[in-house]
Amino acid sequence: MHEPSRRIPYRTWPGALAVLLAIAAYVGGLIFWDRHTPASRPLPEGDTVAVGQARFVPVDGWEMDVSRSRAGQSLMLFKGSHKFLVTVGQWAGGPDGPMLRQQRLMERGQGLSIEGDVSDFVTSWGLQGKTFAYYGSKLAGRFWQVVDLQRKSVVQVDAYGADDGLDEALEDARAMLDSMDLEAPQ
Amino acid sequence: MNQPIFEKDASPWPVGTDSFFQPRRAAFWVLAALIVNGLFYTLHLFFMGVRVVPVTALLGLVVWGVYTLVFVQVFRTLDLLEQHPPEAFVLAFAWGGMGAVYFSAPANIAIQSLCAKLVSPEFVAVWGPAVAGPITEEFLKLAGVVLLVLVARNQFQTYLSVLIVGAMTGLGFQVTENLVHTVNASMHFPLENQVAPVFINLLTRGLLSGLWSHAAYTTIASFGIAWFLLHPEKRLPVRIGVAFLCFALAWAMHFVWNSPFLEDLFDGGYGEMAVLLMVKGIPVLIAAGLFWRMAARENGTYLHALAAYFVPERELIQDDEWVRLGAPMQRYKVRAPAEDAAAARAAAAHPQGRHLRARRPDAAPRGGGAAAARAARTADRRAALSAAQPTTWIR
Repeated sequence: MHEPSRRIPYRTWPGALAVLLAIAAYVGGLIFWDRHTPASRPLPEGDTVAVGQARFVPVDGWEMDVSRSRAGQSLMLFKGSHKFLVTVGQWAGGPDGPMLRQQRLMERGQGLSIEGDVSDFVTSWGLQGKTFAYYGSKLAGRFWQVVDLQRKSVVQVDAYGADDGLDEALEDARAMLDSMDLEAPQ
Repeated sequence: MNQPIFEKDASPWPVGTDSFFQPRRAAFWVLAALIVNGLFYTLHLFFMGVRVVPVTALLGLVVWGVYTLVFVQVFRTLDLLEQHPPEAFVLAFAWGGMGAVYFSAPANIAIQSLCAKLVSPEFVAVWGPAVAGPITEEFLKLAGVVLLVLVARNQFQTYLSVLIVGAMTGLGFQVTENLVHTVNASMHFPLENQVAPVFINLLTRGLLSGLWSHAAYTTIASFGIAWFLLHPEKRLPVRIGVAFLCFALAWAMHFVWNSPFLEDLFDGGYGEMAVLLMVKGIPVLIAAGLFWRMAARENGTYLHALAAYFVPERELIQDDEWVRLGAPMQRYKVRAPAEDAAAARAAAAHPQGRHLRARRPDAAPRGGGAAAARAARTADRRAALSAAQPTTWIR
């Protein structure tokens, strides 16, 4: 039945506390569960892995991080604190690709610094692209980009991690990049 | 026509409503603190967008800001903003756009990550948004509606008063999500063009999806809260059950929207995508429309009861006015020309004061907030008028 509204005093703290606890339990519980569920998936030794049209042979000791890999779009491998991320996207622009945008993202968005100039690279399979090194307060890394004008796509490879052991990780990353081609069946 | 159903002086507490600024209520501070927390997060995201894709971020802000104003204008035209004072809508919008967004981001990431770990990355690529988005986002948006109800419970006397707050919360979420998505899309756009992503997103997320998005889902879920709140005479399990059912319906519609259902039947072109979005979205719009209709009818009954309480002399209210109290569209039809005429008169009388909006002469009393005061003023006016011109009023 309808009543005219009346100014009846009431307490809100039990309800407010219940809402707060429900949010904390839901969000906190999910984060806790996620952090305590292992994300690694071992890769078969010597086998090729593919993401989009890019495929390569992982170096021994690297495992796949399934929680940060997206089928057909990105693949993240990790070894200790070091990551190797391959991302495949569309690109309908010029041969330099979204390099400037990536640098802006790193410098202005993530607070990283670009080290030296952008340089060209060619792999033994004939992949050509551009690369640069970067560093931040807690990590450093190297970024490679290959633009495939025919397929209107761009492949970006990002290897990064803590300074400790980074040289070895970058060597592994170069080996994986060297094994990469863009002929994976779609 | 509805008869008076209030029992006068049945309660010792004074008739009136609380404001939404309640520094002595815990719910107010919880709501405010979580909104401010979300504000910092949203600003951080936005300014990162400004640094990386400045044209997209700033143009997106303008475009989605205008988009918000269009929705608000529609709500205003339908008399829905009369339900509460402006601060209620500001708080609801801010909760949706800041408070809820802040918590939904890590929760959605965690669910998708868990799905990848427990099932596979392939499963996440297809079903991730459907599994994560609906449960998290509907729950968090609704939490804000509950907090707002706690802040000023006596402002919520009708279904409509709860539904409009739910819709505004959903709109806030929708607009912030769209802005963030626009900026992200620009960062991965296949051209060095920062303008196109804004308009593509406006077309796909705003125009083709906007009517059956978060505002509609939260409207549906809020109906359960309204029913729970306004039916204290029912048993608690029944009230909880209705609230749960409305939440489940909102979740299900959101789930279907985010899922890949029917996508195989359409190709990737814009034309077919528009058809797909409409096929998926129109049922949501119909469902939300039915809830609005039910709420509008109940609001009419409430306004009749309110008018009968404050103006017991039924003959003081003309029959057509009485009918219009329960029919928002009829009120609008009468009000719009009257407003225009009043504005024209005001402009003629005060050419330099055109910006001053003439108050509508035939508006209904507010559904909740200021209903008592306004209806009382109306009663005073009616009494004075009837004394002066009895023959034109009394039938």
